[in-house]
Amino acid sequence: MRHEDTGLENRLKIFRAKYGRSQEDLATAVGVSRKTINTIERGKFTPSTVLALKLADALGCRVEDLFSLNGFGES
Amino acid sequence: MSLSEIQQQQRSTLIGYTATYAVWGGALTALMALIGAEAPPPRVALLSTAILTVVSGAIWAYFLIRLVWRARSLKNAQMRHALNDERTQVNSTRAFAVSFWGVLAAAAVAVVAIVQFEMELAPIAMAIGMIWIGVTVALTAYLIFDGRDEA
Repeated sequence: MRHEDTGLENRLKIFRAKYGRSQEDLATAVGVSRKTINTIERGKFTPSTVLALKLADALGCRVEDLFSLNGFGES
Repeated sequence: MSLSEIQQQQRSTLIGYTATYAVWGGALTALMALIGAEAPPPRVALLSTAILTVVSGAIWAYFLIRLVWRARSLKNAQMRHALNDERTQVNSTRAFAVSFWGVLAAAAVAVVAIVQFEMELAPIAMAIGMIWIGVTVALTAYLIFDGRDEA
């Protein structure tokens, strides 16, 4: 899902599904509400660096696997 | 009780709190405007506004106590942190920004009303009115932002 303003692409939903984790479960693991995970997945909210790192850690992947800026720096 | 359920309860209480504050603040502003007016206000208007202020104030106080009590009774530190996570904080900041512009717009309207149309506005009514607008706009904006996240 792509964030409307920042253009940040995230694959949180894909990774969460891959590891069979619910939004509630992931939210508890990183210390936020389920609603926050939901807004990140829908591209409505851009998480802070700290939260992005926590999410990557909880899902056992790199932060770049979860988030990317497509097209940025390509000129 | 799960975090989502607590969040839902908190939202319902906040809606009640906002609605009753809006009524109470508006009634109090009107009461102060009536008391501060140069010409004596009609008794019926004064009495009905005073009753509305007292009744809505009591209901608002109930929601305030409920909100504070619920927040204090939550002992789980992790849950408390999650209820005030970064998305909530971003929404609060955005709501305060909207409220700032709301108060500024209200102040501009009051200045025009006094200078251009020579309206008599009691200073106490204006002061309470500004607080009323600021708080109501902030709370309403927060509820709107939070509601959008739900969709």
